[in-house]
Formats: sequence, C-alpha cells, structure tokens
Amino acid sequence: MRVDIVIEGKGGQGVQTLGRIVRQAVVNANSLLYVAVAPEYDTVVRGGVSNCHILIAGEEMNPVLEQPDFRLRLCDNTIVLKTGGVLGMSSRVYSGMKERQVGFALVGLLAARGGLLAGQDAFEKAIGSAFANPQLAHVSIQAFQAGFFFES
Amino acid sequence: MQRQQEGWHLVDTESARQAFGMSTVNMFISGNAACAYGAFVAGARFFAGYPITPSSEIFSMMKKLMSRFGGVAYAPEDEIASIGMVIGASLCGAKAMTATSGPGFSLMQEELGFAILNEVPLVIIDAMRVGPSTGQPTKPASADIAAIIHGRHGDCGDAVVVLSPSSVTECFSMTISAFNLAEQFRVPVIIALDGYLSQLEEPFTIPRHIWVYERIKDAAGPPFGVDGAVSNFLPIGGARPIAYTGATHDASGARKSFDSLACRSLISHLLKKQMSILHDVQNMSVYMPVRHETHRVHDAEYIVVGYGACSRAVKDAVTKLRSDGITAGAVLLKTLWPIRDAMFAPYRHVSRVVIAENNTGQMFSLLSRFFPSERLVSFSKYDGEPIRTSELYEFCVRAFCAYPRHIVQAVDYAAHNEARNVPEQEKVCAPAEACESAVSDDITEHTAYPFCAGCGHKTFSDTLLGALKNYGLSAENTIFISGIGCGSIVPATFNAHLIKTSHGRALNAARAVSLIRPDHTIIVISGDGDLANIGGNHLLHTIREKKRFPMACFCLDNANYGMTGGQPSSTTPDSAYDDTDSAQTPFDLKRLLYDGCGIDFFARTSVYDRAHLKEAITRAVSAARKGISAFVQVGSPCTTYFMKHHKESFSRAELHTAQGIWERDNNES
Repeated sequence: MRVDIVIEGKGGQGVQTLGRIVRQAVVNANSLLYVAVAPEYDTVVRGGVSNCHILIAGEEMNPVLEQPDFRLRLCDNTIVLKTGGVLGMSSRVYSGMKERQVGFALVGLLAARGGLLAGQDAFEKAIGSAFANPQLAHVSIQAFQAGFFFES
Repeated sequence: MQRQQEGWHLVDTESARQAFGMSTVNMFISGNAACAYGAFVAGARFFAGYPITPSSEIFSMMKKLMSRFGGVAYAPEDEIASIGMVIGASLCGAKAMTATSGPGFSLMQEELGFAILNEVPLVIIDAMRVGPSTGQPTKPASADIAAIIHGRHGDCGDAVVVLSPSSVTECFSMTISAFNLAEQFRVPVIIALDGYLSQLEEPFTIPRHIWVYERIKDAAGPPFGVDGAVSNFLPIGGARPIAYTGATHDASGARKSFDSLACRSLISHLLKKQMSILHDVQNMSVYMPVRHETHRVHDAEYIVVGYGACSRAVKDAVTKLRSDGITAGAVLLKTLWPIRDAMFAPYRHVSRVVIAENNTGQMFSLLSRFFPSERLVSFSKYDGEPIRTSELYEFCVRAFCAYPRHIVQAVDYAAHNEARNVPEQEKVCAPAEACESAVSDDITEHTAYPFCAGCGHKTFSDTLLGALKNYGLSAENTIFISGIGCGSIVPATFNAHLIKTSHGRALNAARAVSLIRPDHTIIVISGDGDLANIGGNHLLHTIREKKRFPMACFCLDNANYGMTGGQPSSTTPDSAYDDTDSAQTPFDLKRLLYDGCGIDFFARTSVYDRAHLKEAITRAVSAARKGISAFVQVGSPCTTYFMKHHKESFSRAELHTAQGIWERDNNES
C-alpha cells in the first residue's frame, strides 16, 4: 500500500509546514505507518517553487515520488486526482482566509474524503501541536474544518 | 561480542538521546540532521563550514549542537578555509568534520591532498546536487562520485574512503563509521550523501549502543607508517614536536622533497594502507556497518547494483522483478572506495548486471573492469530527480529480457514528465520571449523579481536602472559581473551582458573583463557574503590594483547569507549575535577599503534613503567611466532571515548617520 501526496505551492505559503502537519496527523492516526517527507524547492526563497512530497506506506520503501495520487495545488486551490479528476471548493469557503490558511482547508477537504488516512481528531491534534501561537492554531483548525465539513 | 583491540569502546547513546530531546518512537529527522547527530555522538567537537545548499542544515545543526554541548563550530570565509581549519583541528588531535556540496567540495580538493599525504583523520560530508558548476543547486543527484574518489592531483589522490548512506538511519550510523575509519586508519573519509537523502525526512530511532574508536596519541614509535601500517599519531602541541608539511616525508616525519626512496615508500605505504582498510570494511561489519549488502542473490540470474539513495529503488525493483518470476538480486554498495574485484567475484557468472545510479554512470566506469563488458548495462539518470522504483523496474525488465547490448541512457523523459502530469511550459525556467528580447539595447528588467517582500534589493535595482538610463548607459556599453547570493541575482534580472561567476569570484572575472574591454563600464553587483567573505581576498587584491581595474562595485549588504538561511556574514553587527561568545567584529568596509586599501571612491548608503542612494550610484558610475574604481556599500534589509534570526534588525537611524560619500581628489597622491 502506498499513497503519494504532493503539496504544490510557492515559497512563503507554508507548504513545508503543511507537509509536516499532514505527517504528524497520519502518525497520530496510525503510528505503524511509514511516512516520509521530501521537500522540493527552487533557489528563490520567497515566491519560488516550493513543493512537499509525502509518502504514506504500509512498510518502509523507496520514498521517491511515483505518480501522485493527490496533488494539492495552492495556486488555484484544487486537488488533482491521479485519474485526472479535480476536487475543489466554492470560493466562499476560503475567500476570507489568509493565504497560509487555504492549504489547511484543502487538507481538510481531502481528509474528509479519506485521502489522507487520518481523521478530524488526528489533524486537529497535529495542527494544535504545530503552532506555539494558540491564535494561529485556532484559525488553522478553523480553516481545516471549513474544508473538512464542505458539502459539495 | 567484546572487542579487545585498543582504541575501541562501546558508547551508550541514552543520555545523548535525552539531551537531544529525541523520543524513541515517531521521531522524524532529515538525512542532514542525522549526519550532524551521528558526528556529535562519534565525538566530533570541531566543525568548520560554509553554508551551501543542500548541506546548509548540517552546518546549522553542528553550530547548535556545539554551542549547546561544547565544541567549536566555526564559519570561515570559504570552503578553502573550512577544510584548512578542519585539518588544523584534527592535527591538534580533535575529531573534526566539514560539510559542503559540489562547488564547495571542488574548492576543498587541494587541501584534501595535504590531508591524504599527512594521513590526517577527518570527515567531509558532500551533499551532492545535479549538474556541473552551479548546476541546479536544489535538485539532487549522485553527481560527485568521480570527483570525490579521484579529484586530487598527484599519485594516491584516491587514498581516501568514500561511504554512501541509503537512508536517514544510515546517515547517522555511517557518519559514526566515517569517524571510526578516519581515526583508526588516519585517513580522510568522505560521505557521498545524495542531495535527495540530505533533505528527506524519515522515521529515525537512535541505536542504543554504538562502537566508537578513539585515536591513539603520543605513543612510542615513528609518527608515520611504512608498508601500510597505521602509525602512532603525534598531535600538534603534544608531547613530541612534529611537523606536517605538504612535501613528502619519511616515517620519522622528516621533510624529504628531493629523495626518490622517500617518495616511493610513502606512496606505496598509502596504497597498501588502502588494502588493509578494504579488508576491515569487508570483515568488521559489526563495528562499522559499511560492508556491501546483498538481497536475494543466492539464485540470481540477473544482478542490479546500486548505492546511496538509489539502493532503495534497487531493492524495491528487485522485489517486484521477483514477483514477476524474474530471478533478480541486488548488490547494494555502502563503501564506494576502496573497492576490489573479489567483492564481485560471486556475480561474474550472472547473465546480466545493471548498475543503477543518479548520474551519467560514474560508478559504472569504475565497476566495468570487474564484469565482462557484454553483460553490463548502465541505468543512468541525471535530470535532477531521484530514481523512481517504477522506472528502474521497467528498465530492468527490458535489460534482462530484451536488449542484447549496452544501453547507456534509456530514461524516457517525455514519459517521466507526463507521469508527473506537469505541463511542459511549467518546467521551463525562462519564457522564450525573454530570451529573444535579449538583443534590445535598453537595460530594462526582463524577468520577474525573485526577491522576498520587503527586500531592499528591489529598491536598489530600480534606482540603479534609473541612474544608468539618465547616464546614457545601455546594454551595448555596460558589462555586469556578479557572483552567487541574493544580491548577485539583481543583474540576472537585467537585459544586459552579465558574467555570474562562482561564489566569491566576481572580481576575478571583472578584472579580466576590465582589461579586455576598457571601453565598457564594468559594474559589479554582489552581496556582503560574496564580496567580503568568500571573495574577501579577491576584494583586497582587486582594490590594491585599483588603477588597473576601473569598475563600479556595489555591495548589497544585507548583513547575512540570505540565500542559505541567514547565517552571519562578515558585516553582521556584533550586537546581532544571539550568543555573545560567538560574536565577531564586523568589517567596517569604509575603513578597510578607503582608509586601508586606498580606493579613491567609497560610498556608504542604504535603500532607506533613495535620494542618497541615487547620488551614490550616479557618482560611482561616473567615477568608473573616468577610470576610477568605486565601491558602494548599500544597506539593504533581509526581511526573511536577518529580522528573524538576529536580535537587532537594521536600524534606519544608524544607517543614516553612517552614510556618506568619500572621494579622493585625483591629483592627490
């Protein structure tokens, strides 16, 4: 079993942080899974390509990205599936959010559909422990929930 | 098992684990961090390095570990100095290490030769990236293998040990093995770390017990060995006086620079020592897990050889091939050098051998002498992406079942990009029209500014372009030179002649250009790290001969290394250091260059005062047009790192009071 997820964005959007939060949530849900996180970025610090590849597998294996099952695209707030299908939300869901929060809504959207092998509790715990600032954790959890409870 | 040999001891890592704050479960760290922890546990207490992607994290981690638990982590001006300091520390008896990437490793080669000749124990980690020269700095490969093994001049340049870890756990254990080998055999050990692995974060558990070797010092006997025997080590400053020089020596340490017997016996000693290292590597796997690993080879008809991060793809591909009924086996190399044919003797009869690697086939060339050539196939990938299991598997199916002969390059890039589902135009770095417009004469910006929000470089760039236009300078009569770093990107956004050199070497190119193109205006734009740290020596010498090389040199001073994570540079104010012990006196460039080296034009300005900035730029360019060398220090805030890491941010007031333009009267001698 393997699930390949790529978060695609720009430097400064919180892509790498988000990748590590997804990892923590997966581990919270099932600590026996093998999770590897590989960053990929450009030399440009702010605004350059910043991607984060997350592999979730049943056992340790070659962590190099195969064809991704899910691509979370922060440039247009969509999730592209391996089959070519696209998941998205009404822009009303994220119109009031800060740029850095939109990723959490996308993660919530995918988590609610079982794509990330971790549920609401695991994610909220992971987000809560990722931020020292409780206000930041709170708005991030809110953004996650906005995606998680989005009805298409 | 109890090891009796003198020097070895078993270390319990429990207290270190607790001190590091590591849990025993669900601990994720990167390959870089694992190397740093490994070095510390192995007893490394000296680190010198220069930040370079993707190895910068090792540098930061070592700095953190040393400042917390004791030890020295120092950041000299460049890699040449880094390896020099590591050699010095090791010769004093300390376990010492440096970490770098391709371009930095190339700079270390000359000093590494000194370490080989003098049998200096040290560890170098080379986090490898793709391409020659700067290549693609953030993209991974195993592209330095040949340079790491053979890169030194002279005989015995390959008297080193090269290790190649395949996982984060191995990054830890192999760094310890590297120190053990280095200390035991008095040999430089280089860890060829795949760029992919250096950044990869995987589950990691620190082993409870590890074997560590301590160098035996100051014992009786000669300070250098003969015939491959490892000799007693005499530290600098130890009980007996000892001289280490780059010239050949005899066993007593006496310098022999005109003696054929000394030369022959020293070289044959180093060659024989390589053989005894090889013996140990193959037989001491309990203490140093660096022997090659095999996977399902007992009945294999086909063999796949891999090393480093690629081992993972090899192992998975072999498992997949087996499930298809193809009797494949894997040989995973952990020690890349020294190697010998006996290791591969059991596999000489197999019908086909694939050597898989993340470069153009550098190990393939080395291993080809161990196998009949008609059975060898190379899988090479050099596009800056790590090797996927699926592509290696597909290649092996074809190599084992279809193709009759050598295939050197068979990765299907079109299929690769399609699989990633990335449209081609997204992968192209510069739009085609930007390249076409390069013939226009105006020096206007042609690419989007890649700077962070609030970065002062944008203000400088705009002001400079405005000033150049007013002055009538165009792409026809202006040549830009820059180096590496954020500031050096500024002219790369212009539509003009540009030489963007290796790190710190901008002024070298600028000097040559000013001699050959005296009718052009030479404008150097670079940062404080590039000009005053790594290129500091070039800066002093360029200004010493200022009359021969007229140019306008702009130093975009953001007081840190903005591209690799905000490490302090030579202009970082001492009050900005968190730890007062590590604070250094920053360069006062005005006193250094104007008062000290006698440059005729010096300006200190900042992006906060655009009128002053404009005046400084205009007068500097005007001076350069008149054949006078000009240097302008432009204070420009690094909003991403400097403000985050340092106590004191750029103070507007301070920059205003310090600003000024100093120009010597030309008639003055």
